[in-house]
Amino acid sequence: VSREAGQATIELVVVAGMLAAAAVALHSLFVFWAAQGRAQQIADQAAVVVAEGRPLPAALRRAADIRVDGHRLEVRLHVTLGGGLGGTDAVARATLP
Amino acid sequence: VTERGQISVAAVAAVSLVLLGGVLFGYLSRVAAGGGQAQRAADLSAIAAARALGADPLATEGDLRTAAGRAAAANGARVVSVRVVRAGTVPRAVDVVVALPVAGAAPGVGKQRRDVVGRARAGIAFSASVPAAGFRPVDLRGGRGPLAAVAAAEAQVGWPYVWGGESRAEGGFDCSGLVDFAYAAAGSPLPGRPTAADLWHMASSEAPSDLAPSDLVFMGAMSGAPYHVGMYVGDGMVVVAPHTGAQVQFEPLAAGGWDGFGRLFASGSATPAADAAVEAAARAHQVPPDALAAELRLGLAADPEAAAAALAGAMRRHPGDLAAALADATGDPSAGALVLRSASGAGVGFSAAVRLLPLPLPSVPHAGMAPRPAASVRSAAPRSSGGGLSGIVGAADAAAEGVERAATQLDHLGGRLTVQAMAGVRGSLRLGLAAAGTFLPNPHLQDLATFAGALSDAVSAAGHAADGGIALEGASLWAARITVPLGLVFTGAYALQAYRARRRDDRIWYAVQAASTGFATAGVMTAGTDIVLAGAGTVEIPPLGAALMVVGGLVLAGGCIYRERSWLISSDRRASSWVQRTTVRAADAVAGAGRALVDSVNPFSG
Repeated sequence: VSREAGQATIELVVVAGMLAAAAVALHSLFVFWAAQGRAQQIADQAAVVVAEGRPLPAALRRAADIRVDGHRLEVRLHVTLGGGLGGTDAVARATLP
Repeated sequence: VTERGQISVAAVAAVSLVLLGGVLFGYLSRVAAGGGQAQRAADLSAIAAARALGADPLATEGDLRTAAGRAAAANGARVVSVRVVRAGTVPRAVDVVVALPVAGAAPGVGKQRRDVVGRARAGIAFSASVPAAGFRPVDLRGGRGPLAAVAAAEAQVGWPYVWGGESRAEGGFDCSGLVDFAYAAAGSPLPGRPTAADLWHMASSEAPSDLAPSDLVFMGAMSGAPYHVGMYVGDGMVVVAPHTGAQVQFEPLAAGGWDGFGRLFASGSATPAADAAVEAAARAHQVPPDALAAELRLGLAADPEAAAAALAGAMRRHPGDLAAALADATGDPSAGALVLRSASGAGVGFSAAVRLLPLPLPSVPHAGMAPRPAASVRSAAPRSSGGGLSGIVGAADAAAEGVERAATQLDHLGGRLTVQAMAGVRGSLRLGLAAAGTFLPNPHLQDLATFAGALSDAVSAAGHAADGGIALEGASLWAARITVPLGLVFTGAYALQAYRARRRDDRIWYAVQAASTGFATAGVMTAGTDIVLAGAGTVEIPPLGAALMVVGGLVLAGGCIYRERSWLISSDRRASSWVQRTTVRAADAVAGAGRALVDSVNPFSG
């Protein structure tokens, strides 16, 4: 019984570790997904504003790195993934009329 | 069964669930992105078409389709339709529908390829201004010669008289300045800057009976050095800059002391004259005939007399500013600008501001997050019927939508709480009912809250059914996606519980819940497989689906009443006695007050 209990404890620790790793991965995935959505949202807003011929609002410019090159608009949003995974850029693009 | 086995099973189950959830989430995210891309393409296509129309108000729908098509293609979509929304003949907005091909696959359904539809409307507001450095240009349509000179002179009606004036910098015309300007505009500039006397010497003398449009009429000609000049415009009328304090205006030839008559144009090509009725109305009301004609041509007025009277009033309110006067007369700065542009041609400063607008109901509202002047009023949450997890999901969505709408409104409209924001508050109240139906300590009150929520859902769905259906967007669409599988699971679970229940009341209650959830889920499913396959932002639940949701709500509300019938009857008795007592007391109080009032005004009492 004690052997089985010991094995169970080890398995529990392993499972807990796996779950923790999965949680970190999921969290990073979710954070990146949210950042990607936000970048696309900013790209949509910026594209409409630029297409309407208005200057980009300061709030949008502060929110992300927005570049307009001819008909191409690119938004880069830096995101820190956490859990030691470092950071990356969520990128969204739109083509202006 | 050992502990080891239990932990392993639990671990495998947990990891499987996480993986399954991740796969489902990833799939639905990809599906949602298609809808977002379609909406972006629609937004930018609508703006492109509106900009094309702003640059050329006479652009055909084919031209606009080309402009919209380029923007749509650049964003991966194709144009389905382009429609110009007009007030009369004045363009107000451009509606564009685009389609974006999206591929998707789901277990049991297989690979699907759909067109995700995006719709958008871009509004146009025109503005026009007379060039700061010149007088008002007039569109002579290539005409030259006498009638062109007449049209150019008549177009200046309303400018103030300025002695020696011949330029915008001087603020107006004097009599010879008007003639000089008109002849120059007609393509026959006069040498130097002739005075009235100079014009008299340049002109060949005519008999009054031989006067033709563009001939000049003089005062003081008998002395050999006239001091005043006007231009004969036909029908016994003269256009003239009369004296300080007055404006360029029409005068009857017979009313002045004209004693000399001359002609500068020996002959010339005739520019098409304005309609006789328009000319007559313009001269009677002292307004520029070309502006009046443009107003009628654009369908902004039908009766020349009434339109001329309105324009004359507006010109009195805005002296020297025809752009403002036309905006005033037409009741719309954009229409006024278009009139000025139509009358004056390319010489006026003309531009158009383009803004994305919310689509009118019942079209599918905007799904993206582009800034809008106002959010859609419609609350589009596919609410399920009260109790259960699917009910909570629906209500949570309603609250999320409410907060989102309120925040959007407050953000975009500078903090004003609008009807749209109130719609959000309504959604939040629905969440409160769902929470009360789940967490209230008293089961009777729980059922009462569920009943209220179900009834609210039924009424809301009935409103949508009458309104042409329910448009799903953003969070609502996500809730619908989640509601379909959860609704199916819950319907089955309730049905199973109904089958296994031992007490009759429990069996009925679970059957009611199964039926209610089933109807609501079926209602959402009438939106089609696009809910889970493709098409965020473009999905609509048809009136039939809304009607099924009404049935679901009513079934659950009825079930609540059935389940609480004993409690309600006893409460009703208690309430009845309280109502009776209160009613009698209130009636007594009212009667007493009435008697006191009668007594106070009746001299025969007491």
